Amino acid sequence: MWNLLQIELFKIMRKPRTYLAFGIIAAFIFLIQLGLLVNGKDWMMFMMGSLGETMNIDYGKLVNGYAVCFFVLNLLLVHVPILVALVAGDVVSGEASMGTLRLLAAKPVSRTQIILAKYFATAVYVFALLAWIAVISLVVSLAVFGKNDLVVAKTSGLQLIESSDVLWRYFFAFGFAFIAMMVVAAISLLLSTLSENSIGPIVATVGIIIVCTLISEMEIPLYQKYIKPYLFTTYMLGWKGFFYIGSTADGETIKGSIQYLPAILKSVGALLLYIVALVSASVFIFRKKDILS
Amino acid sequence: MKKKLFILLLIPVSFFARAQDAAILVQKVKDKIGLVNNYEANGKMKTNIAFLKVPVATVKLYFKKPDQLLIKNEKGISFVPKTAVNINLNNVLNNGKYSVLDAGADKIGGTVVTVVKLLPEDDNADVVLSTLYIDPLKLVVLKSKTTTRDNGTYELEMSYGKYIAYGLPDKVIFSFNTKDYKLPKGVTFDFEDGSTKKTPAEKRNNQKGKVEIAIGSYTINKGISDAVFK
Amino acid sequence: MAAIIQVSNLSKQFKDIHAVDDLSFTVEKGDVYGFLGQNGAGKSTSIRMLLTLIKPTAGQISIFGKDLFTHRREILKQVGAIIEKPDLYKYLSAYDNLSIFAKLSGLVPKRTLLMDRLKMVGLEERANSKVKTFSQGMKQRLGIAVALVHDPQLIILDEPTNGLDPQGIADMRNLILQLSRDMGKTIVVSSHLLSEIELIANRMLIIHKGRKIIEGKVAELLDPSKSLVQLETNNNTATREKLKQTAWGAMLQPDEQLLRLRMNKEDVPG
Repeated sequence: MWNLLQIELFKIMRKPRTYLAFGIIAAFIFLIQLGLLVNGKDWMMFMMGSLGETMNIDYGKLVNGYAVCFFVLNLLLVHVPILVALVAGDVVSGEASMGTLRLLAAKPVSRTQIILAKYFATAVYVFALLAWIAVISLVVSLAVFGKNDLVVAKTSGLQLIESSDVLWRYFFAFGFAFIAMMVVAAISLLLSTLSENSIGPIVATVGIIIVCTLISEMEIPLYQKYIKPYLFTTYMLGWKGFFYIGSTADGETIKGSIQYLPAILKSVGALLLYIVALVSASVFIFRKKDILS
Repeated sequence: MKKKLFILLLIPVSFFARAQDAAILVQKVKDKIGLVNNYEANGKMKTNIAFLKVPVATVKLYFKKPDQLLIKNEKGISFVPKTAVNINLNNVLNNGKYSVLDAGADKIGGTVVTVVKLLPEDDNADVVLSTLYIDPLKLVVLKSKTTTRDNGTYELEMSYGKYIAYGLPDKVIFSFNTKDYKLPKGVTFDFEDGSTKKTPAEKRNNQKGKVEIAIGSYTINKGISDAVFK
Repeated sequence: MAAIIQVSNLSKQFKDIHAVDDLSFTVEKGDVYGFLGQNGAGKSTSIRMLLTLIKPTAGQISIFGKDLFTHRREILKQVGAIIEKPDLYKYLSAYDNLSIFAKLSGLVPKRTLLMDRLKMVGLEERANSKVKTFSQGMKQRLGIAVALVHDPQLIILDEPTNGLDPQGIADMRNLILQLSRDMGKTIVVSSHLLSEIELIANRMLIIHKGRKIIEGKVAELLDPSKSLVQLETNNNTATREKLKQTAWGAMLQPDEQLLRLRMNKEDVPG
């Protein structure tokens, strides 16, 4: 198994498209950072809206490394699934269309192991991708913009997290994002086992995410009640939950707390269930599949 | 009959006498506060505004006569209501010309206080009416209520300790009207736990905010550069 | 001679198409076994079943005397294959491709071994070139190196000369003969060209529409002085019995359902 995983990793590492994702992310984050370096205060004034009329706000301090990273993640994490699908959607079907799948499956390794090795290799890729995002969006932002308290804007208001209380939240947020992305990877894997070309699963994964997100966000009671609870996209924004700090009855934040911890844990549980179900389905289908490519 | 007439005559006399007493009392308070030309103070600020969740902040307060006041979070970020400059009574008492009215006596936390109303003579002034609750013995203001044209009503509650000789409080509770915060449209998708019910917008529109500052130490009349307030 | 491959009553049905229908054959140790048939006759499906790529609908396959599906890993360690075009990882070098498939075959490949295999197929100079820069012939040679890297006992080649130029075809033919003669490998090779099978195989099987037409020694099947005559009667079994009583009986082919006679050309009735 370890042998197979090494081989799969080697293949992913040697594929040019793997690095495409890293390049796109770096370019995207640098663009945001540059923009905020020049117009960060204006952006913060926009975010604070009319609050600036009644409050004295130090906009300069608001634009700090933690805030920049939060902004980046808000914009970026919605699109990372595409980059994940780009690699995960290709793992089986790409080999089918290239013609190597029949060689691979005629080797003395079990098909279950092949699928699991491919999924774990994808996990390593997703982990590297998120680590890359973390380094550029967090480490570089902190170096450029400095460290200060993080103000998080929610529909219901603003909340401030002291700078000493932020870092661990990012740690967990990236961890959560990893699980969410592994669901995307599992969807791509399943579609990949069903297809013989690599574009199909990639496009289908992105399509599924878009449709599910739309249904999740639509305020139609029928969907909200009967469909939304079962969609994986409903649980994918959970990383933000780590930045919703708990507070006392009179609005004082409690350091180190998370407002909706049970909801986050529920999301993690739901996403893990999705992963288990989708990967099991992939293994089942791949084991039964006649390789005709 | 004569007696009745005397009483009738006496009422306006006593009324004016009392108004005069009130003016003297206000002047005495003003004189006491006037001893402070500038100060720098360290405090802890607790904010209680519905849409704002913040931790207790360590702040510095800077004051310079006549009306400059700054509440600053040296390290982190704090949201300070603009009207909070009025926690400095100079801004209430030296705010243009006004007539002083005696509104009788009241009790705050067991202390008998004289209630005084200040009516600005300038009809266009932002302040419409200020009510002060003064401890006549210690010559300090325990509570004030100010109604303004543009910034709603704000209230001050003060308690004194070590710095009572300068009329400087150990603790100030500042209550004010605030509008709700609205997130710019299209900025983000929220993460919800599904159980929180959304409050109708109109209910949240005008709310009371409260800022509580506990001041540990003052450095009085040691001079402060104007640059601090820039 | 020990049977290396023993296939009995093998069938594969894709929806309503019988790709392979009740196929039985035996490959002996040291055979170069030709698998002859038109395109779509069921050659590839049969070969893919031998490699566990396709699951049979019915029938048994045993290789090296063991059931293929219960001893899959053990058996496949001793099998090397080229399946149709020799598609490999285009974005990897020849060396890396070879190394990957060696590992997948359970080998811990040493550089000297891999370079040796590349040298055998004349690719040692291009060891570090990406496969996407290779010509069809070079890919085919690399495919052979991949199939042979773990020194398998059984080599299965599905249409190995497809897409090759005449020189490539000749090289492939020589290689197969060399593997058989000098190294004693058992080889199954499929083709739709009789001329090709004739040159390399010692035994062959002709398959048509998924069914076996005939199986036997190439020299006998292709004896220019003999013809194979197939009879269609109302009752093949009864006719067979009757024929056995006559001089024709010696010419009867041991076939299950079909009624075939091998006879001298001049004896074939007009």
